[in-house]
Amino acid sequence: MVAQGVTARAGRTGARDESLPAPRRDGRGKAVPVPVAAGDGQPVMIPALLRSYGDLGAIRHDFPVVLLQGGPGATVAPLADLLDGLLHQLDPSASDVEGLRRDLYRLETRIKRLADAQPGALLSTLWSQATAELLEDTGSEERREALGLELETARQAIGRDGTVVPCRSDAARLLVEHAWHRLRSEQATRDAEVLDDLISRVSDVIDAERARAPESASPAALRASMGDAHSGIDFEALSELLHTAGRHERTAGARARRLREPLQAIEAERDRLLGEAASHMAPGGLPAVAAYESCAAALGAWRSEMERQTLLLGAIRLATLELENRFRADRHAALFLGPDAEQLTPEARRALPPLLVCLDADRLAPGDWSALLGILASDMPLKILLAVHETPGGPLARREGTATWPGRLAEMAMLLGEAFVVQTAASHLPRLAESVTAALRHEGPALLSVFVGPSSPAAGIPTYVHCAAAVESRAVPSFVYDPDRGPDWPDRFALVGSPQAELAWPRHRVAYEDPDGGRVEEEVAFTVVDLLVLDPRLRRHFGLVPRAGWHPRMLPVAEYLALPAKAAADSLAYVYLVDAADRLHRAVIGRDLLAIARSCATHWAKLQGLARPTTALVGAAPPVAPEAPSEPTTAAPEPTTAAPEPTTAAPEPTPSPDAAWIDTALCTTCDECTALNPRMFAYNEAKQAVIRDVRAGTYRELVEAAETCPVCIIHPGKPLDPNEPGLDELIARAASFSR
Amino acid sequence: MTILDSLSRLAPMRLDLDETGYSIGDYEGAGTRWCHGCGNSAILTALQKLCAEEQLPPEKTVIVSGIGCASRLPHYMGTYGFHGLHGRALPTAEGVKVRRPDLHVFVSTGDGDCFSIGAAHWIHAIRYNMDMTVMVHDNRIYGLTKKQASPTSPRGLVTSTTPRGVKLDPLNPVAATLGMSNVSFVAQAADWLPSILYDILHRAYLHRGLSFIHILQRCPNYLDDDFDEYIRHPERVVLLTHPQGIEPEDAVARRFPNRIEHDPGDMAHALALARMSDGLPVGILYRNDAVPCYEDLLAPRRLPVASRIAALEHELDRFTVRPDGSRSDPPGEVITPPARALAG
Repeated sequence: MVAQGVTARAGRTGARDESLPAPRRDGRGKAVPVPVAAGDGQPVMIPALLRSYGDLGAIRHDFPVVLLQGGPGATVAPLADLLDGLLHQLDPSASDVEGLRRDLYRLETRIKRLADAQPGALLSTLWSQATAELLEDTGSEERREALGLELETARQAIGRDGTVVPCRSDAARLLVEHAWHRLRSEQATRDAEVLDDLISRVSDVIDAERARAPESASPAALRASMGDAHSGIDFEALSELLHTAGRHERTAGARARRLREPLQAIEAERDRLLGEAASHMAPGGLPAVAAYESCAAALGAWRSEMERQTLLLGAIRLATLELENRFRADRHAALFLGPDAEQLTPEARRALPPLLVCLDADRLAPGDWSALLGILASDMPLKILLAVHETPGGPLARREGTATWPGRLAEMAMLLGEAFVVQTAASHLPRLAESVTAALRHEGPALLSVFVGPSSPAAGIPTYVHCAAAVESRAVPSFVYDPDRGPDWPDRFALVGSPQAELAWPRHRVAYEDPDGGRVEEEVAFTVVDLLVLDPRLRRHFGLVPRAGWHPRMLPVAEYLALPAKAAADSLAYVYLVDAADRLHRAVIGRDLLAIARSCATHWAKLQGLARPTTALVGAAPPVAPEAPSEPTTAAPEPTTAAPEPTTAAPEPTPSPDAAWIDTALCTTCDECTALNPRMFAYNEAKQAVIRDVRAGTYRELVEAAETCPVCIIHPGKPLDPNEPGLDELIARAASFSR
Repeated sequence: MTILDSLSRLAPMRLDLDETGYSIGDYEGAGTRWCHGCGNSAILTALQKLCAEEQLPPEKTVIVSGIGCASRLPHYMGTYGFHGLHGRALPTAEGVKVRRPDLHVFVSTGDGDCFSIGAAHWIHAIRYNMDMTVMVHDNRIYGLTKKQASPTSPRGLVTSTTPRGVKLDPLNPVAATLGMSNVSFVAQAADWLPSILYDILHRAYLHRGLSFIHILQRCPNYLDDDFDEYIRHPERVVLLTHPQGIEPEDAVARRFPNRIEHDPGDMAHALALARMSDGLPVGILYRNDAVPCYEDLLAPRRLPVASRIAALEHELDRFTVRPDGSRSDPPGEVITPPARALAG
């Protein structure tokens, strides 16, 4: 994933193992810090596992990315993916595919170099420039022509164009803003369509109202509506006739008056949305739609936006009620009074159009941190891109005494519950493009915490390598927390983008040549200490040890950290470094850095636990609650003769076997009984029969009703009047309907 | 997130906007002219209850019918209705739906109307799968015209058109419907089980697509004991229950000792149930929410006004003839104007 494997090819490290001049030693024979940087700040040492990534121009990786314009589907694509996608479409058996592949890769290398020099350039521009360079380097005229044709055809086959973005500290912002513009443009276009439809329907109502108004039956209006061709018509008479016929209501026009203001509001919003959609999609260059640079500015904008939206929603609501003919002046007139944000439920607020806030962790005022947490805990759809420049351990360089790291905000935000959280580094953003879009779509706040490389980068270390190393070393775990995915942590949380997520540290092979010329291969873990080697401010925490000083108690960082505390006290932790002359060294590590490494390992283990379904907890039955402790024996025993407590719920009345009743739930509303005696039988509010008044008829009628009921649900019970004639026979007939 | 998403979540609020408060009475139309004891009344009541439960605006609800006793139902509803031609309830309903997809469309038809003269429309309505609820009132007889045999009349039944008894086995409408292309919802109900009928009707209404409910309906005048074997012996009714189907309350379910858990997604089992001879399956036999509705395939996206005007202008431009006699581009029909008009 990283650079299609930043460290995957570390095994090719061709370092030679040569000792440096003997280090200074103190009296106890321990290694002492030796500067690992040259005087000009240029690192002379890099971690052995990063040895292969000095020249990114020659390595295919996820950058530069192309911010694709228009069209459905992906919003960003690495340049390498675009070319590979094209090659995959070709028939591999065709004779010239290999040649094309070579040419495209050469072109890719050129485009990458050109993109570094021309930020903001379009792919098509860079493609033409790179093609021209390649053609210049081609000798034969015939080959030049073929190559030009081939590359132009390939460009057309890729079809899509867009800004090419190299991996620099502004890459994260460009990527997120691009996704933002695409999304907002879509949403604004769709909303404008919805409003457009509403406007045409409201206009129809107003037109119809106007036609019903008395003025529309004036002679002049009638003449205008029919044209000059009808000279034989007496419009005066027609007008009089229409007025006499009473076709025009006095109240006509009331709806039109009520709708005028909301209609204007809706039309204004439609026009604004169309303008917004167009500005998001401005061709060429990046559109200028505000992203807010501070929490205060964003909150202010949000408040005024919410007032505007509340007004608008009131207008839409009123228009919709009118269209559905459900407007009641006494109940709904207050709708279009003015902004009253209290009318919005939290759900409605979450669904309002979102705002993008781009913040730089290095430039935040102290108060901004609490404002940020406030936003993330709220229901405001503010999308926060936080560019982080430090990794854990960075503050150590500033000697602040604590290891607080701004990146921890992402973990705090997850605990707030309903905010969408993405943490990653700029190098991994192209692969997390879908999660970024999901975060922007999420109804509610979202935090995109992105490590974008140090604010003063070490010379010779590309930003991409620094970012990728931050993720690889667990210093900046890459994860996504999506509260829309389900109620539980394992559903919501995934370590997306973190390599070898099942391990404590990612492991890679490093190969080197020993002093006797033999090949040695070792598997080593890439830890946060490897990353911190790149920070020139921390070099006093490393000490080089010459080969003569290597001993078995020197352990790689990962193994050292796994030791129990007592064994660790007798051991030293080291990392492999490579100098500019490709010589391999071990550097032992100071205690402060080991503490940072330990803290990163602990954090990582916690995140692993959150991502994994905890089967032990999910599968196990809840422990049976222990029996309540028995009452002390001294307590007076309950009197056994006590009457049972009356139940709080009234028991369902059981019909007496002697009383007449109907099994109402089964009644088919067939009208038999109600036709027989509507005073005795009636329908309840569910239109099913009940006995309204058993004394309103004779027992004979009750028995006849039972006999005629097609679903046999009437039960006559016993007669109420013992003097009714023919009772014996009726009781016998009723017997089959008793329960 | 669209404006309408937001709108739909506006507070039910202090203004009490959404309270329409329709009761069953609001859906009552003219007084019924069915015979006392007729099973149609139970179906009418279930439909009125559904409308009240779902608060369907009466002006947005249409009941379409053909000809027959069942087809009188639209008269008794306080909604819009269309009492159409014999056998043509379904195509009429499709016409309503295709032009006004915003309306709630119900079809009330009978065994003769749907399975005999309207059989061709039945097949194609199932295939088109437009979003509507079809209630077939099957009393196994032509009742309105005083007892002639229908396609579902039992073998041997003596009627005025079959004085020596019906010679053929009756049609099995449920099995036949299950066999049709694009079928998306098939259920069987009985008028004398009103709460189950209501549950099925409710599920059918919520289903998007054509919901076909075969309702066994008693005719007290011309076939009065036809369903007695099931009415008097509830154990002969096989109640189909499932979370995706219906789950009657315990008080109702316990009247039917014979219950089967049937997944309405299982077509093979649904067919086996439809063909069972030793009991009456009642419940939802089949549903497939993935079958597309014809109106969705058909409905053109409504363009914004500006685009519609542009499209119209484009079309009209094809006929424009410029003063120099040249035509607009793109070329359309060449209209040679009369000389006088040109001169004017």
